[in-house]
Amino acid sequence: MARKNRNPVGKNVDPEAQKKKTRTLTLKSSDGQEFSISESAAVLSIAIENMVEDDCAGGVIPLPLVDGGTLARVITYLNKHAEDGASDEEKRKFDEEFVSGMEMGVLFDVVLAANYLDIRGLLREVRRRIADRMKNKSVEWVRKTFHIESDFTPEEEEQMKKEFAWAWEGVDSDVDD
Amino acid sequence: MVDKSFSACEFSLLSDKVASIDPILTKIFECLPLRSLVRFEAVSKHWFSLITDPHFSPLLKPRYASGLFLLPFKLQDEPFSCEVDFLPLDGINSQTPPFKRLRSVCESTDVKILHSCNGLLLCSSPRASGGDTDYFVCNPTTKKIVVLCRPADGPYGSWRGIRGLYLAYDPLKSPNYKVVCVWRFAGDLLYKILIYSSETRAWRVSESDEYFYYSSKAHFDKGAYWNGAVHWHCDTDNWFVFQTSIRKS
Repeated sequence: MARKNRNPVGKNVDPEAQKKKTRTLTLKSSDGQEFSISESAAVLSIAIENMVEDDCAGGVIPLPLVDGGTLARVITYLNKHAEDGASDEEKRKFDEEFVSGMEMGVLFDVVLAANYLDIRGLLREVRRRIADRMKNKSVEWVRKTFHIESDFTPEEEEQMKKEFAWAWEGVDSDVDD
Repeated sequence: MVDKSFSACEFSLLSDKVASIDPILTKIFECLPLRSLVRFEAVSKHWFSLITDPHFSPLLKPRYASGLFLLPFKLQDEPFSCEVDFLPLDGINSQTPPFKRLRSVCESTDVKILHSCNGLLLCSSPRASGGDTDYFVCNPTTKKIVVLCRPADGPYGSWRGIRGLYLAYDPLKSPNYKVVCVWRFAGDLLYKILIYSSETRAWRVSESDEYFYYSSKAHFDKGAYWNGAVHWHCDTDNWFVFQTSIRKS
């Protein structure tokens, strides 16, 4: 697992690391958009790193499960995290702002992309943001947002509500913030 | 480049996907407060099974304490106000305390908190008549209270021998708690340990040892539960430790 701990912004003069900074890859989204990205930023995604190492990339890396809009967002994140000299504090602030304005639909897109591309930091950040948006919401809001149909009978639901009345207190209105 | 704008259909497709990838869902669940998690058990049977799964339940994942309750120091004859202060520890999302006064949790006046352990409180309050005392375990989040029954007959039939009562509760190991009671025979330095189990709702006498004689002064009224055992400090600078052996359920 040493691979995921590799620090791409390390101050070493490893010629391989230098090459990665200057070498660019092309990522192709599901809707055919192409994006250029430095290899050092791209390999923050474990999935892309594996593709590069297996040399199955052949110039353009197709990402059939990520659409262009989402990929653009993911690349913004990767570039920031591969940036030379960006302090941890700067990255933390960036992460916070990066997810703060996203709507639920966008958060879902990004969490799926981060999961597919295996970008742990981004995955963690987006999951936390989704949880934060959900935490004070009603059960109905969650069902609507996640497109889940309840398979509990009204009686069963009433029973749970009664048994755990304390958990149903202090719920925000369903109006999205 | 085209900016992202969802048609209703695309959106539904994506959230369907998130809702169906269990590893993503369970990781999101781990970021939710317990209150929300318990509420979301009602979303669907699938969510219910994910949240309550005895092996992977996010309810059982270690969590940081969200804050501390501080009991203001009172002189012995000062009336007990039941007022507690709350010190949030998660600076950013400092939550409002679950309760401000113990009286909002339990009706009785003159409640004393004897011990607290992983979110449960062990309290005592004098009974309105008869000069007797009630001991109860209270969960301030659920506002659920369980009054402890008296130890069954024999020499332990009254509360008078109690030298210390302690909660042993580790939600990561078991949903059940125990109450450890140090019981002393009148006029003697013979002690015995009694254990109450929330599972059986009954007391039993510890089998691990016979009566023990303790001459060097152990502070059985000031103990602490840590790492599966109740610890008491003794004047001789030794520790008296009682392992509660909570079985993993």
